[in-house]
Amino acid sequence: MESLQTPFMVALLVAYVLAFMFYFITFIYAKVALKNTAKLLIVLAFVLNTGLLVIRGLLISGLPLRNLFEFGLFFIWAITLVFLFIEYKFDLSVSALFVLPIVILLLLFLVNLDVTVRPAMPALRSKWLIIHVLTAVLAYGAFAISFALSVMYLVKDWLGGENSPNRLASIMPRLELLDELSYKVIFLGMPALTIMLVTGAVWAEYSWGRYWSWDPKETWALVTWFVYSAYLHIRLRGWKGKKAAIISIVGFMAVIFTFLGVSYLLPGIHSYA
Amino acid sequence: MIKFLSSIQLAITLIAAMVLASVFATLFPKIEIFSAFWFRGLLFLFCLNLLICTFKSLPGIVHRINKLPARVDEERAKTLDFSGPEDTEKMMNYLKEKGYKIKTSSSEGQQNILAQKGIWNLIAPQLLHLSLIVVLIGGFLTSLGVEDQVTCFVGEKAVVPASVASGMVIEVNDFQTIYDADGAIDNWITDFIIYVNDEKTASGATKVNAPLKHQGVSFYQKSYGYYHLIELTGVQPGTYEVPDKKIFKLEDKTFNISYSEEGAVVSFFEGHNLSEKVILKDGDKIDFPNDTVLTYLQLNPFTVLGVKKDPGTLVVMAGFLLMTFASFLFWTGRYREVAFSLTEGKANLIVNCKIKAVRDEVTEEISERMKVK
Ligand code: HEM
Repeated sequence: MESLQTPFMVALLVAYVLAFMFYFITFIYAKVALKNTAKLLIVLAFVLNTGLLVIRGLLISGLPLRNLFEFGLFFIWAITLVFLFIEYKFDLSVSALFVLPIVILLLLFLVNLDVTVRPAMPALRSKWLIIHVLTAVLAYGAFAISFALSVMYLVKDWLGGENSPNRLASIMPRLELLDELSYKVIFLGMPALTIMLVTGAVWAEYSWGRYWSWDPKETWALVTWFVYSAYLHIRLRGWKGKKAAIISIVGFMAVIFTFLGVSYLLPGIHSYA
Repeated sequence: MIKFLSSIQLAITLIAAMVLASVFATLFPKIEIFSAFWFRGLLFLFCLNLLICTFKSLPGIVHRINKLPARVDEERAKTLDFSGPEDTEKMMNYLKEKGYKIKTSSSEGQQNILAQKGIWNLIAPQLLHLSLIVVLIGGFLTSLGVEDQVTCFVGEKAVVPASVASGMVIEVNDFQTIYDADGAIDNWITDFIIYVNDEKTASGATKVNAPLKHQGVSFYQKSYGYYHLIELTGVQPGTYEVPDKKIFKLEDKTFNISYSEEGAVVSFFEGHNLSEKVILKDGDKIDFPNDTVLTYLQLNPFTVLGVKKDPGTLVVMAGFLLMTFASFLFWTGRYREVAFSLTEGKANLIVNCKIKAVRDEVTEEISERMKVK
């Protein structure tokens, strides 16, 4: 079954790239059939992604959440899930143009990782890990979507806002809706991020005897949490729109840095994941 | 002063400062920032900010939850057609179905209705803030706690450092590596007895992810290792305790001894290359030049346990529990309230919610309902 992984990864990549292309053509020609094909492709990609996670789960007989590759697969899965949700609920097809590039870039990165199955070290064999990583995935999925919505906000604003003659601007949702959706999605992701931090700390207490060590991964997760809590509080002071969008983008940069940057650039006890 | 200390501006400034400090600290790990005096000061100020802000906002929240229906101001309201008591009934049933809690009152010939939903979401931020304070206090207590480690050979005793516990001694019965069904390492487990003032007070096992706790002292499986007891006859006679994998030179031969499940492995090297491997059981001998003989006597495993005494951990864990609870409350749905004033032929309606989209949606839904007669 191990050899199935690479074909699945390639199929996944192809499905996402095709979906992106169909959404892009939809944006130029506005044909319903094209849009439906694009949607179908995303659902197909989601099914493939789920399938790959199941394969991986069977290979390691557990939840596949133990290394960068497995976490990345779950990350993409969660982004697609949140995307499908808002696409279904708010009919936000245009957001695909901004969400799918993130997914495709992540996939291109994952394709280069080693997919060999290795046994997990003892510290990783913990129930806490499962909740810890699942909530991380949920939070990161939500933040990726809010990032895309914030970029859309800035792009639309830059193109002239509601009354812009620009085609891209005119098919995007109202600025106000983009802003509020972004807020909503962050509001959904923030508790997940909080539970991620808590379960991570509890696990560290059991496993290393210390709930907080200020290691780079922990510190960056905390930075991410701080940035999004700043986002929620500036909204209370009436900062919306552009300023909020910029903080949401900074927040997602922190997410990406916590996920990838720390693993590659900053050494620490977390560096296995 | 109190106003400044409870302000959100201060909160945002402090959060920004902590972000900058943390980023800086991970980029320059040599500089001790998190234990620096000014960073502690920042945390203290943050704690004070949270405390004052949270307590200042509590009365407002209680007031909001206990609020009674009042006359809805016509200027700010949306006015709907309204024909009579059946309409009221219908509306109230609809709101009840949607999970609203309904209060009614009447004054000056008009009926006022207040429907509230999502009260948990109103107190969630405050509970979260409170949990943060608890965690920060716990963290402060932890900084007063002590941690150290104790190394002990299997079959021997070792004293727990006095800074952690006085008069505490452990005796290790066994140390084992546990393998799973696939043959991969599953865990490391130390079986030991605890003596306090020479009296046996507890015994048990500690392994990775499952520390043992006794009299406020936690024992964590931290590390382990092996020594090999050997006897030499010939050139340098005597018994020696040699560390695992340490390289020696004896009579022109370079070798090390390492632990394996089958026995002690003696690996001989030529330069950097492995030239020969021999597995020894207790009592086995290897001949070296010049009548030198190495006898393998026995394996001496040792375990390293982290020991910690820290009253702060419990406080932090309590804070974490509250924090998790508060986090779940955030997912129960935004707080919203619907206020009606009903007079002859018309109804004044106001919907309150922090999110405009929700406000509009609820107003729309209710207006639709009222139109359907
Ligand atoms: C990193 C630490 C903090 C976190 C994670 C946090 C979290 C939150 C969250 C999630 C909300 C709800 C926001 C919303 O409804 O959109 C909130 C609201 C609030 N926070 Fe914080 N907070 C933190 C620190 C602070 C501090 C230091 C203050 C002190 C000024 C503060 C004051 C407030 C106030 C006044 C509200 C509004 C409450 C309400 O709407 O009823 N927060 N906080």
